Amino acid sequence: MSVPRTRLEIGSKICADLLASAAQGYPGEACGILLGRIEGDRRVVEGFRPAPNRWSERVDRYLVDPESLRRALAAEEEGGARVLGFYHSHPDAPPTPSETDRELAWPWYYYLIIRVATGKPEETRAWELDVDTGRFEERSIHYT
Amino acid sequence: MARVSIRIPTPLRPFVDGRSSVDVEAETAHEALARLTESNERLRAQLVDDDGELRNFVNVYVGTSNLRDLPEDPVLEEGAELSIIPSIAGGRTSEMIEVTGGGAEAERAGLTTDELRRYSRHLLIPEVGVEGQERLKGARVLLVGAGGLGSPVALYLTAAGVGKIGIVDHDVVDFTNLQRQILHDTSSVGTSKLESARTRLHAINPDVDVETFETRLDSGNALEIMQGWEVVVDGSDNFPTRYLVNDAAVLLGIPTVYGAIFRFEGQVSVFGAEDGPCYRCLFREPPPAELAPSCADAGVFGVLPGIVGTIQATETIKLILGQGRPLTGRILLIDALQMQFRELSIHADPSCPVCGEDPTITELIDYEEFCGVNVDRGGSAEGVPEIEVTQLQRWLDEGRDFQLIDVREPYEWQICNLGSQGARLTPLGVFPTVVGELDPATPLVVYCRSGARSALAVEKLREAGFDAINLKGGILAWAEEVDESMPTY
Repeated sequence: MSVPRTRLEIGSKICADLLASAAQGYPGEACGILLGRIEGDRRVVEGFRPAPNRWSERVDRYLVDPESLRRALAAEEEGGARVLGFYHSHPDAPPTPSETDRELAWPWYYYLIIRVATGKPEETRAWELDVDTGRFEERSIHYT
Repeated sequence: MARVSIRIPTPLRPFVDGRSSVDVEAETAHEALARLTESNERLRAQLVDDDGELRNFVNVYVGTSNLRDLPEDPVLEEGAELSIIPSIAGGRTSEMIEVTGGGAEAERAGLTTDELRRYSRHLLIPEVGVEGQERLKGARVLLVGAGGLGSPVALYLTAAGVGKIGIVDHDVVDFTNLQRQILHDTSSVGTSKLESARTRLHAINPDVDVETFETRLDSGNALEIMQGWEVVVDGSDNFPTRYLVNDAAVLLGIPTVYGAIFRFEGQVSVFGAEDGPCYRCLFREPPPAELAPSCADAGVFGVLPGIVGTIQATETIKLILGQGRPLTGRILLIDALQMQFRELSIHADPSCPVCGEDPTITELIDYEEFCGVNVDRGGSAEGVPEIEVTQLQRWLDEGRDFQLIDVREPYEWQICNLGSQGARLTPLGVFPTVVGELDPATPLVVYCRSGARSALAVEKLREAGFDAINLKGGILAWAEEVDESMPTY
């Protein structure tokens, strides 16, 4: 495998808050930044930051507010929480990457996709882009 | 010319030797990016398109200002900081794609989105992949028996997405099955094994088409039932069916994945494959019936059919995929007690009566007769006088003079016995040494669990001049008809 297999760990309380936040955007797509730390092959989510969805023209797209991300990355530079990846909701659609997701994807970051069905968060899956194949590979999520 | 620092986000650091920032000398922001990428083609490809324009999934900030929002290329001051900020975007409406190994190939194979997800761990394996998964989807596998071996085979083949699974069985679920027959559960006791199997398999994978044959496989129906399947899995528990399945499969040209279990020992092989041996090449004739105990008579370690059955499922899937080295020409011998796996080479026998060069078996025969088994299973040997349990009870009530002999094993005696009725334990194995102690002048009533072993004993006793009678249905019949409080097994 060209991408080292790592796993995502997330506390159930943080996860519950994140899912509730993701569901709030329904029927639009909600998005945000996953923050935490990296320990060996584990990426531990310690918090998240909802970001305004700046793709205002369409309800079925999302664009993480660049300014929110800039601030998160600046804080990371200062020794703050690492930016581990991003989350976004798929209202009434499976939590698998769409072609749009793939085209716009960055490597290394984890993409947490949450299926929100009629306003309720249902299924969450984590993905990472394999730069060599240009495809997403699924990553396991461990709820702690 | 100012010396400025460019912050690199984590995903791009592999392109700059892992550094989090790179210093360059430039007058403007665009020039700084050009310096950063001028000798780094891979990084350049990530940041700008062929026309040199910043890609739309990249933002560059000068201080806290997004370069895209600035009217012109800003002149940089000494010590300025630029940050490359990923633009994180996506959306859901385009057709959903799938993970590695899927994509366009999957579309060609006709697997649905749900199937891609369900079988994604298979698709990732080169030996399976989309093509293999499609083969599994198109495969038809017949299981003979929905018992100890059939259970794990059916469960795994269903989970693996074998398109059509046929099951032949005629039994109902019994409490004594639950220790190993994991297709069935407590709530299904007393119901048809096939219905129980269908419910469970549908719950695991509703896409799999399960066809059931609620009948005992015999010479009259075997060819019709077995016709058209790609692989037959033999999960039967008796020799007549085993020979029947083998012969019919050879006649139809279908490979058989064979499995057999006895207490802690198991066997697995693939018979009837091209150039490979069949069951008869290995076992020309069955053992004498008295040396061929069933699970009910001999007992079986509950996990063992799980081991043997999962190996059968593995071989079945390999045959369908055409991958790996099947157990053709080899028989795997498993000893769960010692946890040893041994392998013996076996060869197709040119003189084999069914698959040899000059076969003498060209149609199905009477397999009960061939195996020397009485057709009336659970009953007794032919021609042996019998007594019903209700009649035995009358004899006991009347105080009639007779000897009651239990020919089972001591561990069976511990579970239940007729000791309170005066029965004496004389296991079959010690019979010859004890027979001299019996009184030839007093009639003998002999029983075992279900009447089969005691029938053999009665036969021998009568040959030796005793007035022996078999208890029809054994102690199980007694428990059912006379003493319902008696534990059974």
